Amino acid sequence: MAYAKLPLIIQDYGLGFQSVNQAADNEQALRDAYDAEHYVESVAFLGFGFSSVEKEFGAHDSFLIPRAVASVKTSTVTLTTGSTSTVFWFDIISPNGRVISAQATRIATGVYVLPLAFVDDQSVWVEGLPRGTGSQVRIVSTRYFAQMSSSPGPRVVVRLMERNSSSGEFEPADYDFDVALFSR
Amino acid sequence: MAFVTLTAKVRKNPFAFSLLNQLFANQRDNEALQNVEHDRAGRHNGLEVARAVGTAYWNGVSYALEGHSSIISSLNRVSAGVVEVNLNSSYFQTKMVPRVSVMDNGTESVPYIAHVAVNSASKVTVYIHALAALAGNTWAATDGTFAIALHAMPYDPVGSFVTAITDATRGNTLGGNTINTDVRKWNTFVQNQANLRSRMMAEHTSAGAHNAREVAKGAGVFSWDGAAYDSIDVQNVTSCAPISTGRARVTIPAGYTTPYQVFAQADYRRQIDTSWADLTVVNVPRSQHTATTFDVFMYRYDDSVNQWARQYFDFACSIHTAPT
Repeated sequence: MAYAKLPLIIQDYGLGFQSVNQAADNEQALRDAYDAEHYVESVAFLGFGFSSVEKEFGAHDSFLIPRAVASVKTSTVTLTTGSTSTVFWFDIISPNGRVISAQATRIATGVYVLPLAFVDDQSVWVEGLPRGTGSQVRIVSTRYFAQMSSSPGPRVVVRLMERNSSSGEFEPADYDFDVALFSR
Repeated sequence: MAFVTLTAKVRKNPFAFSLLNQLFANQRDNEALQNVEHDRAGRHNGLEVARAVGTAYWNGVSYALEGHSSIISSLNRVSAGVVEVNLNSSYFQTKMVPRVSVMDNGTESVPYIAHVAVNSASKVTVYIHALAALAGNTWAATDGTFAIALHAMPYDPVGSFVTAITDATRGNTLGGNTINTDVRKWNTFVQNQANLRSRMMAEHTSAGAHNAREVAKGAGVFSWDGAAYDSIDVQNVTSCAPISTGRARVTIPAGYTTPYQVFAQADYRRQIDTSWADLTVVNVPRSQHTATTFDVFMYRYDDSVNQWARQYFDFACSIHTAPT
């Protein structure tokens, strides 16, 4: 039954069963409405030797809303040249941290791997946006991988390019960037 | 006590106090659900949902805000291709995640790109560059229309937004088929219910669909198969078709109003080849927006000759529009 506003009552008002039914239906209607694009119960995920929350009560559950957004502050950590496993931390992450892990790996100059969890393989896409303060010419490319040979689980690989003003060509570079990840 | 779907009562059913308490419990659970990512006014309040969305429209002379949330207060053109977006700082911290989509490509023959700087809780600067000509790789700061979405940290304290109701106990409610021994519980419940409903309706439809510019109304993932665009996944988007090399037209159903914002992103190529090493740019010029279609312009960098060219490739997009 659709929502209907109920009357207030005074002492000795005879409250009938229809009012009680409508009260229950109103709460149910609200619940059903939220159920359309939100999780209405938490679901734990157990496997691969760890546990996590796959679906969090009250969180959004929509193809139209990013599963996670993050700013990646590569400039605030010391990166080891040539390292294939330098780890840095996101400056901020999705509050519940259930989709993008709080750490990522720098593979090479301008190449970063972001581990993911609980995304639909088919529909994932990732917006990327460079940070900068002036005349830099920068482009962020992203690619989702359901599985990488070097490590289990879904990943997003982010490639950061910047035009070298001397050579006039795009080259890999390290800089801060933002991502927004969408998925079913 | 968790939410429990209640069975309907019929005439002369006795109302036990436990029924009323379950109603209270259901209401508390609905409120708790709402509080997770919504504020007291019903506005969205989670990092994943944009705090503000709008368009900085470049009319050739100056920038104008359009189709925007009121918490984007103004624009300031610093110089060619440099635009300060001023914000109501009470809604933001310096920790925010911007998204920018260039909705201009000037002559419709060269790509535009953007990067951003978060200057403070009240100011973000957007830098736009345009390629001088496709047969090259020379870029210059250039004015252009862009859409911006700003994701911010939740700002309201967690807390109860409705009046608490003390559970009923045996004997103090539900005498016979009424609860007239304590009308305050019922009245508070009814007021809370109306309040929660009002908050939900602030940015959702009665069916629960999101209904605010800050949440996309539609989105789609499209894959180029060499002859046509295949819809990998769409919601509130009708179709996508090639128009000319590197230009595709997305058709959207009724319900969108111009000006709207399109955030587009190149996707890896799912069908033509598996390479993702391409450097690509996607622009969705506002000049090509209608209530039912928009065009997507795609550019690919060829590093062997250090030049750009229009080319079809996979892309994804989301569309934000005014609430209905």
